[in-house]
Amino acid sequence: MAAKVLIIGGGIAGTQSSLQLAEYGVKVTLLDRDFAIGGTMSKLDKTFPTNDCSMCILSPKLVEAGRHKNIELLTYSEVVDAKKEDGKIKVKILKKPRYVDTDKCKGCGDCSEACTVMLPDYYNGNICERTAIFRLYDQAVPSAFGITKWGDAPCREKCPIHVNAHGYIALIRNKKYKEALSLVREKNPFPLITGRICTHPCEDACTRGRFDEPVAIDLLKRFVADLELKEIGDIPIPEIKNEKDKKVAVIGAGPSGLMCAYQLRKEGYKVVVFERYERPGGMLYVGIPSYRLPRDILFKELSILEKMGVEFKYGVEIGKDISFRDIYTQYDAVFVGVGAHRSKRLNIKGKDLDGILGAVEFLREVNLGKKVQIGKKVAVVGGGNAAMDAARVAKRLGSDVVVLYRRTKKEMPANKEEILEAEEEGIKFEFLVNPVEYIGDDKVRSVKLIRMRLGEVDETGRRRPVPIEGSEFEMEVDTIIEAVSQKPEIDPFYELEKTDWGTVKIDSVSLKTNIDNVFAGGDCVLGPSSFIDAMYHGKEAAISIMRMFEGKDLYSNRDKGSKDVKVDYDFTKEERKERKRPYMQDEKERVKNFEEVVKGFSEEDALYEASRCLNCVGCSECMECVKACEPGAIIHDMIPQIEEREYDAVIVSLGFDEFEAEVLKEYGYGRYKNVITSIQFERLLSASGPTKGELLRPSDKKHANKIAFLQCVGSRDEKIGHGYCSSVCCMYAIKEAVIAKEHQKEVEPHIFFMDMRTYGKDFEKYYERAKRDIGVNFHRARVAKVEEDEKKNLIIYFEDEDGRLKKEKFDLVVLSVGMEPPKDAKKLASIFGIKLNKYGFAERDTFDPLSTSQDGVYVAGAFSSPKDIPETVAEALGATGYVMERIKGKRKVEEEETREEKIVESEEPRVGVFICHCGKNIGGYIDVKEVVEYAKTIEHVVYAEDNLYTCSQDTQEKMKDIIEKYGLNRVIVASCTPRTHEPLFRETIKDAGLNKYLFEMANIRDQDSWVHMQQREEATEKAKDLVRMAVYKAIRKRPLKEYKIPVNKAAVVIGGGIAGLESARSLSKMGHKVYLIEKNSVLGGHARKIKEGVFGEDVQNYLKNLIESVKEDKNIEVILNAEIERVEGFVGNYKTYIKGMDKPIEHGGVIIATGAREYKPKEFMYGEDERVITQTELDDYIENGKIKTDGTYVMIQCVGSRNEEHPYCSRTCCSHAIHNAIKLKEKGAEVYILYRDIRTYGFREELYTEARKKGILFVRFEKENEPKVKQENGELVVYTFDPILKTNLRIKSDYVVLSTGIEPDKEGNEKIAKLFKVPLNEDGFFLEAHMKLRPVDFATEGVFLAGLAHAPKFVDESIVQAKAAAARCATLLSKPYITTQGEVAIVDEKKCIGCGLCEDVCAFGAISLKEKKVLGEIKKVAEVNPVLCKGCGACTASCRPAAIDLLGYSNSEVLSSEFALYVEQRSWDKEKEKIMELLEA
Amino acid sequence: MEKVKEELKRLLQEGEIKGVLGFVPSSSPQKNRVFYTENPDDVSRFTVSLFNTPNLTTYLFRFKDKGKIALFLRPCEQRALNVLISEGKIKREDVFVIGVPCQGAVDPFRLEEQVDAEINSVEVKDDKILVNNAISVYIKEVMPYSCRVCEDVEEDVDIKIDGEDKRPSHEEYSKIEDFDKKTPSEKWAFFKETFERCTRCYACREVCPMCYCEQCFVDSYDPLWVEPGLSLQDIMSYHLIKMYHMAGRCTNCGACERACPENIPLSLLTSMLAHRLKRDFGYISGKNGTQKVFLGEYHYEDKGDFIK
Amino acid sequence: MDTKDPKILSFLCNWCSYAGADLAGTSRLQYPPNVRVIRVPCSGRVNPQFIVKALRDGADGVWISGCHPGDCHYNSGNYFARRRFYIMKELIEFVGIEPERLTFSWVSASEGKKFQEMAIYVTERVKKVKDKKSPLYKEI
Repeated sequence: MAAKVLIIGGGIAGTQSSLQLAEYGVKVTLLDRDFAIGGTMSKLDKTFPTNDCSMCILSPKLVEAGRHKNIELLTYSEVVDAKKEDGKIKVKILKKPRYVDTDKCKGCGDCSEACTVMLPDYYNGNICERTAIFRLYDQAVPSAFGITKWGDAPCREKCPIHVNAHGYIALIRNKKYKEALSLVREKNPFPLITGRICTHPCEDACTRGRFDEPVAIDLLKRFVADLELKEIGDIPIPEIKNEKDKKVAVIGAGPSGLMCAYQLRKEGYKVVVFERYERPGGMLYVGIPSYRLPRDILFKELSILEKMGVEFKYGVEIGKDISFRDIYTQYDAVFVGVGAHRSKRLNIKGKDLDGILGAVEFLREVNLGKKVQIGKKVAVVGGGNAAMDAARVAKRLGSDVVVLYRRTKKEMPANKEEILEAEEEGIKFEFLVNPVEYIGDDKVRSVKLIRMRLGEVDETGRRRPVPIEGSEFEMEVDTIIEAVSQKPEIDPFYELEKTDWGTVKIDSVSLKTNIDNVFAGGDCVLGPSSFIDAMYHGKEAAISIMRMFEGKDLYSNRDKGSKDVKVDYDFTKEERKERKRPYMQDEKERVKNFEEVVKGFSEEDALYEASRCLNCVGCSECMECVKACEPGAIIHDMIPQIEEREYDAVIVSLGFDEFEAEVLKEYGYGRYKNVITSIQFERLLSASGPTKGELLRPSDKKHANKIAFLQCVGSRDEKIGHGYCSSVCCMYAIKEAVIAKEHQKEVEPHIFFMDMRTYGKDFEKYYERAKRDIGVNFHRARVAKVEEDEKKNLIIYFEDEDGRLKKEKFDLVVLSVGMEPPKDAKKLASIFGIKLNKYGFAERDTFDPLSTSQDGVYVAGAFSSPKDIPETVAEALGATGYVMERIKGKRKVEEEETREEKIVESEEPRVGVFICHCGKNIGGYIDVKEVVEYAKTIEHVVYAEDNLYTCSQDTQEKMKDIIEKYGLNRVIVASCTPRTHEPLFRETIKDAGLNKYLFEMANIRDQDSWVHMQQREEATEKAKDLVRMAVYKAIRKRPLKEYKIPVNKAAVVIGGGIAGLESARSLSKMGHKVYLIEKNSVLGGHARKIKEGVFGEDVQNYLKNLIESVKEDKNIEVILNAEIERVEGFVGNYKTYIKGMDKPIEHGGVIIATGAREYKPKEFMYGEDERVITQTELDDYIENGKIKTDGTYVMIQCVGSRNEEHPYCSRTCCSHAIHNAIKLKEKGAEVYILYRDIRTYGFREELYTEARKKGILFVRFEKENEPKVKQENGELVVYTFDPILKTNLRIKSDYVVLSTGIEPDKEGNEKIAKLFKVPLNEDGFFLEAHMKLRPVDFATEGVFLAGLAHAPKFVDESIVQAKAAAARCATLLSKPYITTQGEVAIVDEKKCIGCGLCEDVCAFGAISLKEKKVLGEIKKVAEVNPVLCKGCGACTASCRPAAIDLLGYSNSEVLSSEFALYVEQRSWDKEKEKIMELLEA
Repeated sequence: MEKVKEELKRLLQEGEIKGVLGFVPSSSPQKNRVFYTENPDDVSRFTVSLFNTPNLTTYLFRFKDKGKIALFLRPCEQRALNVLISEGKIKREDVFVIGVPCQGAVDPFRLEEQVDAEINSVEVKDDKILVNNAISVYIKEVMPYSCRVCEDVEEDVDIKIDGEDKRPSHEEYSKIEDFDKKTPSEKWAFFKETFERCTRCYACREVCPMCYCEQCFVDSYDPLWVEPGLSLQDIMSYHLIKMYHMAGRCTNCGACERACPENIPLSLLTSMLAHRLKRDFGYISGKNGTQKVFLGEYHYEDKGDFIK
Repeated sequence: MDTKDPKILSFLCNWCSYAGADLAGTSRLQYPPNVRVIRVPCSGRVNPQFIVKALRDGADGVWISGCHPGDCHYNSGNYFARRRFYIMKELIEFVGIEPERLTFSWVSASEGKKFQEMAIYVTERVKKVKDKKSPLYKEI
């Protein structure tokens, strides 16, 4: 059983760890919180110091991780719990729904095209937008899309029938009006009516309403409904499902009844509606005035019911024309929705006088066209919508109207718009009054009112009005209209049980009454309520009735209607946008008629208003993506899942978060548009970023030329709790400046910094080049503040080196933000029981740098401290070393299948061509059928077909059958890109018994249909060409072999320092025999000189134990005083000859850990005056207590570093010096440190801070103006220029301590380099295969690198590399054999002339010249080692006689493919004939 | 010259060299004959003149493993030897180089064409050749262009014939630079006119010291780089690819042009290569025997401005 | 054959330029349909003799693209290629084949946009050549 390892965090660390372990034969789960792996590195444009394209080097790794058999990707997932059990780690993993089936998704992006919601693109630092359904970035792995949903939309949830307001708003914004309307109709069949008179609870819930004003949702709905009516003049009839024989009676053609009838009829039930009036609508007809709801609109929309086949019986009064009992006995079910058509009346003195009307009755009379006499002065009592209607109708009848309301305007239940419109129409309002008596003789003459005040809050949440004693007054009136409340008229339904309120009593869930088959809803149940609530009842009753018919449970999964949902939304970046008011009829005119007052939105208004929607929940669920997705991969109701898993080990590589620069107010990030972070800048530089690599500043999208980079933003800043250095910002800022300049010649970059920390391998040279050759400007200054001018340019205030305050204007400011522990670090640390340091990074031990405080849980990358990519990768590999030691060989090596392969060499080519539609992706733009027909005509093609999705599982199966059936011996798939799909198809043909190299792909999607979408004909022609080229290539294909070469399990480690010892021990723990070769007579290397780590760690004790354990290890053979004479062989099988040993060491791999040495100074009187010492000598003095406690020590930095002889930084000396300085200072000595830049990166910054606090004096010097050490009268004196005081200092010192650098043993390294065919860099350090991603490998396989031989570094960094190198080496050694790739170079020895050009151009040392006997003649010929060959073809292209060829991309394959391009013009056969003729002649 | 002959004789006699490769007069005075001898007595017959046509390094392949061979080489021919040494084809210790002061090398075919009569005698007079004591021809006009753009070599000879280098005036590739100024169609017209004469006899290949492939690309059927036939396109394909193979190797000795019976100005192409390599890479083929071959090395800063 | 629709043969290295071409596809960046791609592992695989062969056989133009200097998946393939292409380009131009027929570029895996721009550029460039076919084209 293979061990299982969980890797948390899919950045470069997690990806590298996964690949490494997977290759070792361990089952890996790679988990990432985001939709895709790739982490921060995927966002970078270029990487320092090589300026490699980040994506170019990362993407192949991601793809490999995505398809490796041993790696399971769990994206968009989180660990929620973990516990230890029997040495295993049990975790619970939450798989969050991405709403897309990653297996089905083809990554075509059609969904994104269709998506209606744009959200800030967090991947791009929010400098642009992306759709709600999206792929994190173009090259993302997995390539599947995902949907951002932050919750349920408040507008939709608040609506009792859950009309998807967010959805249709989004559709309207995208001008998809038809789609918007049909989305409305899914829930609400009456948008014309609803759009006019709905009380729109959605708007009350609208998130935008919390910021300025809610979106005018209702009017937007009306806009699309009106538009349809205007354009087609009719309303579409919904499809009726199968006719069913059950028959339902609906009593009352009001909103609830009609909704119920609609729902039932749609499902095929027969419905008869009984209505007392002659027209449908109920309260809509008799209650709502026509200026709000024109009658033609009302009846037009309701007419759909009749057209659907609902039978209407008008003018039928229950209890008079037909008894209620008759109905419920004759029909299978009954819905009672008779409304509340009777006004409740005030029970006060004078209530029976004439001229006192109920609002409902008043409106009904008017609406039915009857004449109502109301006189001039009309008072309306009440504050609801009925009151507004009554008042405005009265106004239109020519009266002066006053509304009397007992609370204030704020408490009025009427719609805001209604109140506003009433006011516009000249209706007066008296608030906080209540009638107490109507006065008159027969007819009312006046009303006595009492003033009210607002008291305590009552159960409705409003403050209760309380009468004010003695405040009564009279008001003259001709008519009083009471609009207080309404009640139903349900006397004819005496069989129904009623409530105390006089409404029908129902079961609140099922809406069932006391009679089994009778349901009721709407106002007759609710009392006066809204149109939309009535609709809800109608719908729910229909559901109950249908469930009753189907014998289903009435109660399960019922929708509870209106729901309050609140979304957390950050309004800080929002701008106010006023809500659009609709077009209205002029207020002076409109009071004279009953024409519609509100005219609705123009298209422009609607688009504007729709744009006000904040998309507060992300996806709008408009379902356009579902329609667009051909493979049906989108699942909107996907739910989260929790899985339990068990692992042998866990690697946590969470990475880091960027510092949130808003915190530092002085820089204006978040306020000034043109102040951006480094990551945002990376995205601007990136060719695949939002500006496609154009340096356009955010405010005006103009080219930014003058750019300031501000260093240490969120780093080296104790005030904000970031007392550490983020280690990478100096380099990335320089890189960004250099690349910016590359992109745009005019760019003038300025970097403002404190210390320039270019301490890594080849960093210093990069810095120098940027300064000298590229023209990057460097200012040693901390910026005080940034201000914005009216043109959005930025003014930077800073103090220059001379202490002068300066200001300078820039187009763009880039904040070099530091690293923070990731946000989920704390949570995860507590889940796993990992200790964090005071900043929140994972705690680490110098001598055990990748273990956490929890056994079995390891850490890699920036999660334990800020670091750059190479160190992150080294740690990622190092962590796998820990895991490999732990699991003790529990791994599974894939058994090689020994399947018979069909022999095809002797056969004529029989080519099968499979052409993919890729849904619409190809089929939509290319005539696939035509290409198939064409393919059939190509010579050697015996079969061609098209598939909807060639990569689908069933097509793969079918393909195997066809290969069998037609005896195919070459297979072509014309579809997407071979970069992602070739391995899949190769597997398939392999399964069918063909050599997998007999496959060829034609990329007719990514490089054809997708890029020629408007040119169907040309794209189709191109597809034919590409298919033909593939066929011509395929017929030249030969089966290729993958050779297996056995691997010797032993390893040689060269160098007995820390790196060598650690890697030897690690390899031994992994089960390998190790030969540790040391040229000296003792082990320990450079570390023997290090007394203490810079944090006081006991290096000697650690070293002693390490040496002991190596010596005791039976698996490790230590060879001291060893000199390597000769090395034979190559990866997997080396023979290394040691001087004086009779037999060579046979081994499979080698780790070079030859270390480096301390520079022996020639300068500063070292060796001339014994008071001039080095730091390591000072270590001895300190250890032996030989400190002059009242003395003065002057330390000089960069001795033997950063100069012509050693143009690199030795990395460790700053920290070492400060560490010693603190010790001296603590003993009472005076200490000066003369430095160029203090490079205490990472947490070592704390030492620097401490040193300054302790009063150690730091004086900077320039390289050109170095300090001078002199003897004056026997005294040791140091002269140096103080750039702050602007004066020369003369320091009388007791000791001068030189901080000497680290230098490689150039000659020794050169010898080793030659023996193993690996390169050195200019400084004499070994040069790894790739600075970023292969830090411990060499281009030559089988040789690895660790420790100081690579570059100067600290002990912990050496240990990390040692573990990494051991892991890499063991992965090689643990293989039963090395399998060569099929595509390797081969030599035709007859043709070879032994010129050696191929050997020169081979980067992998795979070619060598050998004396051979060829055709009886001895000559030098090239020989390819297929194990080392990477198949690049550099040799093939260099060979004049074409003696060396690259299998798989051979000259004949390429030329055949090339020739195929013109075959339309030239006939292959004719050509051949002609050639033969000529040859014969 | 006499001193040299004495020395050669001694070396042969003492067995320090195996044989001597050089030129002796032939029946056609415009074209001395290549002559190899192991007999010390023959040494006196060797001659050095403008009429030594081929590059003797080409013949070295015939004497492989024979022992140390002495041969007469002009500077450009010494460079060719250097290339072969750096390609591992010849070991320096296997050859005894006799440095020849160079006066250029006459193209016998061109001379014949100019004279248009049977040549019985030739005599060099200053910058002219007097043919049959009657017709005077400018040397410049019967030499390949390469002789006018000669490059220096880091001298590494075993013995040197005294005498002044009298190469024709150094033209700094002006002809190439002038040609560069022509329009593409003018250029093509020139090549059409001059190269259409090519019969693909491959004499140019046969005399070239750099053409030591066992199977030439042009004779390869798979891959079929160049098709048979005498269309201008196929002729040009052959010459283009051949010239590509010459890049950084051809030392512009002009032997190919002198060998061409059709008087095709092949050295225009080889000179162009020399010009480009010198101008853009500071590279002179065969400058010494340790220099890496041009296409076998690179520098980060190599010319790359032609790549978008 | 009409140069209205020139056929352009393109060699793209698998790791950078071919990936860049794919990216142009995923980004739906439109360009003229004249380019026909042969995928090769590295620009270092492209024998400049292919150019001669293609122009002779009927390509109106040849476009070769690889990784930017420093980005080569095989460390140095593009550097060697650069020298080789230079030589062949100089030869081809010297004999009078229109320079417009031959284009070299560096396109990285993230430069979908550059790929598109290059495809447009290459096509426009080839269309500019007045003659119908390259002088090296041999009709049969």
